[in-house]
Amino acid sequence: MAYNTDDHRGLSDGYGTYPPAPLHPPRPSHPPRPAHRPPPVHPPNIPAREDRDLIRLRTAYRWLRRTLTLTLLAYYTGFLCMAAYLPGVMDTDLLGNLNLGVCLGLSLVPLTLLAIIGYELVARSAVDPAAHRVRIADAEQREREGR
Amino acid sequence: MNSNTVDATSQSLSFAIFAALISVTMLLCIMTSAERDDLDEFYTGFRTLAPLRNGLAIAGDYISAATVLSTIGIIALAGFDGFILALSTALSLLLLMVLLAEPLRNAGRFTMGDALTHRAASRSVRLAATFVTLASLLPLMVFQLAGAGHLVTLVLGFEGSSVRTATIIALGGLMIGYAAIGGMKGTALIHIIKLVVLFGASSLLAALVMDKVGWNPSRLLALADSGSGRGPAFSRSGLLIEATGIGKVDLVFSALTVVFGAACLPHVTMRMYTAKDAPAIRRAMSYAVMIMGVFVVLIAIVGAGATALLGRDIIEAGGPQGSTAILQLSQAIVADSATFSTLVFTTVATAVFLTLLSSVAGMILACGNSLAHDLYAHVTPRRGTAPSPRRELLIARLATFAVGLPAITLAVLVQDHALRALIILSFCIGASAIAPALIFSLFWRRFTRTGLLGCLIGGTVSSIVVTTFSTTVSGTSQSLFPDADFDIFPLTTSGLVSMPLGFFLGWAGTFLSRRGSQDRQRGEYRAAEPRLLAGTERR
Repeated sequence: MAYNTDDHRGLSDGYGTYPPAPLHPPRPSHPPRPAHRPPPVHPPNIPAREDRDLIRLRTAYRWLRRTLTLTLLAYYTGFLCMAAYLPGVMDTDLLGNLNLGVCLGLSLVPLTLLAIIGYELVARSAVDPAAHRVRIADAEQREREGR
Repeated sequence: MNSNTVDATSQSLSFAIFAALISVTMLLCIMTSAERDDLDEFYTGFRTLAPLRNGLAIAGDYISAATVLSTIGIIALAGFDGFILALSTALSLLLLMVLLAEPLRNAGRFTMGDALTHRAASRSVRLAATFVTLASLLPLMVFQLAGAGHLVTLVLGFEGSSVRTATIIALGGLMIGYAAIGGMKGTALIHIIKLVVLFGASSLLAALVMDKVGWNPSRLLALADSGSGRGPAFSRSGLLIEATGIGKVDLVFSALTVVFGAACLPHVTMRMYTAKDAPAIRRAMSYAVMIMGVFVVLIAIVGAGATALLGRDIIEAGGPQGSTAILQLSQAIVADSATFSTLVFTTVATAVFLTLLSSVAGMILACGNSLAHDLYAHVTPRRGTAPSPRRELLIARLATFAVGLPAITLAVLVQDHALRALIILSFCIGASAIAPALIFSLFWRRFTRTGLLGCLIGGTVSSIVVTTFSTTVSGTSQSLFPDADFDIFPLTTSGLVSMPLGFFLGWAGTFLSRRGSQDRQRGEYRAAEPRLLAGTERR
């Protein structure tokens, strides 16, 4: 609703009228989305620092890769060793005729699903933005070399 | 099972469906084939495949006929040990996703040779990459072609070895056609169709099995225990590999060999290069791994169901190592309604037929690409005279024949043997040569060319040698040559020896290289790292 100063004569400020309402720039309804978008077409005005970004990317990738690979391999090797060396334990019946071995084996399927979801989430939040910055830095470097 | 047990209605229906499938898939292949003389289009389909479709194509390429037929057979005959093998196959694809997929997408362009020479060009590495690609995929192709002869003559009710030979030759020619005409895009389309049909057929079969046992997994296992004739030993480890001192180690390492080897085979890794960027391949692999996870449960149910409902004797009589178990089960599962029974059998037979066609076509394509791109375009020409794209494309198409024809000949020659040794050999080469070469060359900055060649050649040669002298080739009744007896290593899989050896040779080769060579590798790795990790443009 437009703000009509004539309705407010009783609240005189000694100058006769209120100053016109300041023209605010329209505020975005949500904060800008941070990650996983196509790279912008225009060069950024803050130079990206390649080395720091590359190190950050390398660390993020390495952490993600090692954690998941080692966890999965350790779990599976443990399962295999139990199957080979502890047949008595693996033969314990859990659900009717389903023994521990079959249950542990089937548990790999939900574990796989969890691993995929975890990998996607971490890669999106940690890896993709860093990779984006490295690409920008690389494009700038090329531009400088081209000149 | 002899051909009399497949009734005439199923036979004629299957024949009609097979003929229709061949025509439709060939038509699709021609329509999607590369339009211009563009290498990118033939080798990678311009990297335009959407993640879902790419994921389906990866899963389709990964679930080969060897996996479906032989794994279901092993689960039906060996129970828990077979289940472990199926789980290893699924885990392998998951490890490929978390460990290698994204760097591989960024490093490679068309073939494994491209990925291995991502730091600096090298002819010897290209040559070795071609050699390893052929050595790892040829056994799998021969196994599947020989199996295709058996299955198709069985389903269609033909008899006699000459008819079987003719079938193998005709099917082989068809598979070469798919690879030569369709290229990457055409085979991707066929893989997608195959995956959907195969997934539907296995779900149908698994649902019918579960319906028979009242949706009670415990009852399924109890029935399978009694049907196997081995009692509770069926749901315990030890039927495939005897639980002796060396047998236990062998079991663990056999499974680890599948984990490292199955997803590293070149026909799977070549699909990594078809994605647009790293997030796209990540999403595609997510779909593929999920499909594979569900598929393992389905084939476990089908395998256990075959033993539970048919019994071990019928499956053993059906063929070597139970590879026809899925067809036998689909034939016997609906006894009361002839029409429905025919329908189920035909659906499953169609799925198996499509699986055979498409997976061999994918492998022929991988080998042909390696011959054309690594050997012809990068090894033979003198420095600076690369062949024109038009010529390379022609060679790539001809190379599918150069790969397919020897595979067909070998398959015809060995079709009457028990061929599980060939699958094992492929997986061993994948785990002992390709896995260390890819892991080291993508992640170890000091890794030198000597180490890389050590991995590739040493891993392959040791796999072949150890497998030849293992119990899968001679010494037992299940072996390739049951009468001969030259099993020096008491192992079923060569992984216990050759996998550590492959990794060790890569490490030793690097440490024995000169200091300067290591430092040069370090510098080249630093230059390549932004591209490897972030996918920046090639300099």
